Amino acid sequence: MKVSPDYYDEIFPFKGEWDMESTCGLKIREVAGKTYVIVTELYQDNPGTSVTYAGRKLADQICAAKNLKLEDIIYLECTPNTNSKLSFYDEEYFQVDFFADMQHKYRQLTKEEVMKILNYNEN
Amino acid sequence: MGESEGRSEQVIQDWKNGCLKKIYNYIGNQPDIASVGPCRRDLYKRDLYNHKGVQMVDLFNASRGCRFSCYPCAVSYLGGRKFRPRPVDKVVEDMAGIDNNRLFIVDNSLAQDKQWEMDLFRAIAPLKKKWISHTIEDDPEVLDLAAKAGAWYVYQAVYDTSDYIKERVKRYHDYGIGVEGTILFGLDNQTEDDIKRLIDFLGEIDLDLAEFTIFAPFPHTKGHDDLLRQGRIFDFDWDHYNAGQVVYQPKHMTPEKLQDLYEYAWKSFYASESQEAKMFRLFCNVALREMEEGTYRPRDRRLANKSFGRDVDRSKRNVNVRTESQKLIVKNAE
Repeated sequence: MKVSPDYYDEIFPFKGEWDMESTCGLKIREVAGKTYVIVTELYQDNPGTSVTYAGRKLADQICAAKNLKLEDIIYLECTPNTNSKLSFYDEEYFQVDFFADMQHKYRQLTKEEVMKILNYNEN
Repeated sequence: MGESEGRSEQVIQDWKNGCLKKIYNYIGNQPDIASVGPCRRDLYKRDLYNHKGVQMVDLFNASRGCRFSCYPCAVSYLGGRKFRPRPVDKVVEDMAGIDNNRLFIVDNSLAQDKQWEMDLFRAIAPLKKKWISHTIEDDPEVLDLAAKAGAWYVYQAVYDTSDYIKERVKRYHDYGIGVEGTILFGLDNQTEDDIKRLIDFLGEIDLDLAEFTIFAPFPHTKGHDDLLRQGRIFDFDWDHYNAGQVVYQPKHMTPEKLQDLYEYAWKSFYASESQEAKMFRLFCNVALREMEEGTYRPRDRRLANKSFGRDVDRSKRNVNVRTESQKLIVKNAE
């Protein structure tokens, strides 16, 4: 269940639950004046906490490392297609709005929305 | 937190020195698997693990970790995403020291490294232990070695009604290995009809036992993350995450319907023969093999009226028709 490197520009190491060494794929895209931060779950290649479970903790670490402000970014979680025979491992993108009470709000993006973000060209 | 080998000494020392820390965090930092030594089984109060004079199985780990990241399972998170088999000589030394001929090898799946699995079975065969385990490699050579090494029965996931499953169960039986089907209800690819068909299918594949569970979105599984994002988990009370209660909104039915199907599955499978009677059949199989090999231990009559440390209520007798072989076992046991 290897995740294709096409899903990310870099591997981002982070501290997961109980500071467990964890990794995710990371892409940052500027699209029409907005900053999209896309974190991708790496499954077996992530020894620790999943991007969804890490949630806000991961977002904060990315913001600190990349000099971003959480309120200025659009944060997306990607569960990549792993070519599994099981439908549970199909590609999905969710926009996450973080709330202090940990009841984060998730909205699944359509394929068109995803394509628009990933294929955006400044020129 | 994490695995304790090589770390407990520091905790004890800190306690002695009056400087015990709140947390000792070794999670994700697994020790060398070769450092895993025998358990202190002398600390067991064995009488408490005994049912009517019959010693229950001892639990045993031949490996840790799992290279599979199955959708509902958190083991690869807890034990590490790499399969970590113990050195075979360590396993043999550990197993030989157990004062019990019946074990449950609780490893997530033995079918993760075929060579190690075969080496393990060859090495433990002379111990003449009888054991339960999760899945074994679906390969004639491995199954043959497992049978010779004392495989008693295995847990096998029955996730669809395919010929593959039917043949998989048959192949275990061909080698004299019993099968307890493990059946998980409530995944998104199951409709009500799929579950009913699956329950009917169990009657066709000659399972020795079956265990039903409702999908529980345990933290650190993809199942949890998917349902969380979709806003489908309605119960976050950890006490209800017992795989017998619905804590989320199933995709194709109401939570109540899924709960009903789960209850129906237990009743349906054990309608013609109780779980205790089916277990007794498996027990007879292993006892006969032990008698042939000279390792059979009659039950401890001292504890005939005790079950896990409590008095047995003899007024609730289980009335079952016994076969000739079962009568022989009972006679020998008496």
